[in-house]
Amino acid sequence: MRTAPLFIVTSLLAAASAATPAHAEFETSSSGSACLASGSASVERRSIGSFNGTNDAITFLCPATKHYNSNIQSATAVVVDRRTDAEVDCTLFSLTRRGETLAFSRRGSGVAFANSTAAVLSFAPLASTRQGVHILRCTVPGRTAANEWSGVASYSITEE
Amino acid sequence: MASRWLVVVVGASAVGAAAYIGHDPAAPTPPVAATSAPEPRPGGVAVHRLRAEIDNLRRDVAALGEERPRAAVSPTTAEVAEAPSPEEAESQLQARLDRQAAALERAVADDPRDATWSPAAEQGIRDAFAKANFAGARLDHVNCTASLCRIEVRFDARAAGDEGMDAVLSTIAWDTDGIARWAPEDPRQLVVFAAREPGAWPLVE
Repeated sequence: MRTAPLFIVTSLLAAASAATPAHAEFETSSSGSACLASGSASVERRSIGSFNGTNDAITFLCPATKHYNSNIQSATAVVVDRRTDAEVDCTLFSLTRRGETLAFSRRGSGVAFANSTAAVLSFAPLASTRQGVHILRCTVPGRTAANEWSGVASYSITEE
Repeated sequence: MASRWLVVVVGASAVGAAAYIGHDPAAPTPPVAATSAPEPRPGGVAVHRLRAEIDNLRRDVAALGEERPRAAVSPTTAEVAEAPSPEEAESQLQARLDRQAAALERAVADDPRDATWSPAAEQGIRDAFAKANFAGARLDHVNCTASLCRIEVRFDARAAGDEGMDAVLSTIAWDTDGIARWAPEDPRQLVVFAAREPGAWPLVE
């Protein structure tokens, strides 16, 4: 019962996507060290990624390459979440070139999740305008009492 | 393609120049090599250098010939010829967004509520919105059905809305996929559709 309305939408959207020309796939992987802190905060950049060394949550903005006339087929972000009472959540945006949000996909590592091993967040396919842009925004909680840092190790986007 | 022709043209020119210099009786005599380095070909240092350049160019040309065709990063000629103008593309996009929004509005209208989830999801969004204390923004409406939520926010000015988009989406505290759209009839009204479960959200086209 719950999926019926969405199935209708799916059908409409599938018909719309069929009209777009097929393109080759591109996978672009970036180090989390490309991420910038939003506002006046600063991130700790390492070769293995960007991390939050402060006590407060920081919003990371991670730029992504978008090719002309491409859509996001799949995307992942590899994050490190050391907090047991907060999560690393990331939202992948598809924007027009004017900066208007078209579509988004949000994934979190889970509040209860905490591990020194990175977690992989997998995003949904997102459509884009021809000259639109993609951006990954992650909210990274502050360090733990033991000075363990959370952050973004890397992110990859496959376009088609 | 242009760079390949450039290489070929430059290479051909260099071959011609080398041939000319190689047969120039007035060309300076090269210094005698004092070591066991490879013996220079006849024609002097200038010719030798040119020939080395030509060899390099030949390698470049060969490498270009062997290069695997790369997947298109820009439209092909056929695609450009068939591509609509920017105005047409904008119009097509707007029409597509209108159809999508209409479909989602119907989905919200038709989908029943889930008594165990809908009220809690709505309250969570309201609480997050109140906690964020958005200046110049008002949560007009939030309606969560069993499958998705529709969130309507009105901003005092569109500029505030552009800046506040991130904050509005931050009120959704679960894994989700969705779209955001400015209402055509009121450019200060933002409508966000967010799926209850990311796997249940269709391809957002």
